[in-house]
Amino acid sequence: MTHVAFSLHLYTFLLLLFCVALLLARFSELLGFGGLDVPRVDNALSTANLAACTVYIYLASGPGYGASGKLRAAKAFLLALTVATIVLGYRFVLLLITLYTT
Amino acid sequence: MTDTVNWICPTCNVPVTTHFCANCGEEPLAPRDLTLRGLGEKLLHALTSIDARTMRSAWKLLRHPGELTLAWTRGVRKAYVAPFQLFLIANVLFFGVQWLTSENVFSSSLDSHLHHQDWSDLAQSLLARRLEATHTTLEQYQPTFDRAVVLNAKSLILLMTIPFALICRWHSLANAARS
Repeated sequence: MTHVAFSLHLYTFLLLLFCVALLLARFSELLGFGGLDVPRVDNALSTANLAACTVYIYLASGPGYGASGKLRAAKAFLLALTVATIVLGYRFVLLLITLYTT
Repeated sequence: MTDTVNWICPTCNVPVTTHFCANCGEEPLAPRDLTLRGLGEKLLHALTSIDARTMRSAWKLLRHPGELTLAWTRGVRKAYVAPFQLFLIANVLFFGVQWLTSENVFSSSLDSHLHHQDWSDLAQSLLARRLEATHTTLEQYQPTFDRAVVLNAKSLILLMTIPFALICRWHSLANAARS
């Protein structure tokens, strides 16, 4: 149950993070720097999201799993990359589901 | 709040001497509740008030990552919203922001799948087989896919939490085996 709760809380955090990222992209568009369709803005926001996700996992793994030690930051980064991969995987799964249900 | 009131709980049908029924939490009906003004006040309250537990949970999640999970697994239930509920609330907010900004984070259009993703070659071959099997053209199928993928992205979002929970479990088991 701890893992499910940890995962749900992480994805709740991610959704809130995406809300901020979307609003920042919109703001950037209004300022004339371009929105998510501009690679520079998209990459900057993706990097910021990955960094925020790493920080969240690093901090949350302490109380959540009692994580400590030198490898904690590296593990947090790897888990954040896993989250990013899951997001990409979700897009691919959506392709398959939509393709075979429509 | 009055502490010494006498009323019959309409739900449990038992006499109650406190402001709330000890069995079900019901409170006595006030004459004002059945007026148009009373109904209006309730409606306004429902539309404008944000549950304190939700705010407390969101604040805890953002300000002290991991402590909300720890509190939940320790059995603290009254003070915070359940993880799944909080996830759903975040979803509503996220869909609202997506709608406001006209962006879709998780759903890619068929054109994007076919030309701009790492799996575009595979997508093209899968689509070709699908179109052949259903005797449809790309032009006919594309709008149907683009509408459905947005809906699927919203309704299946919970799927993403499952692999991460499994990875956490595997990681936790691997750590336990090492120590």
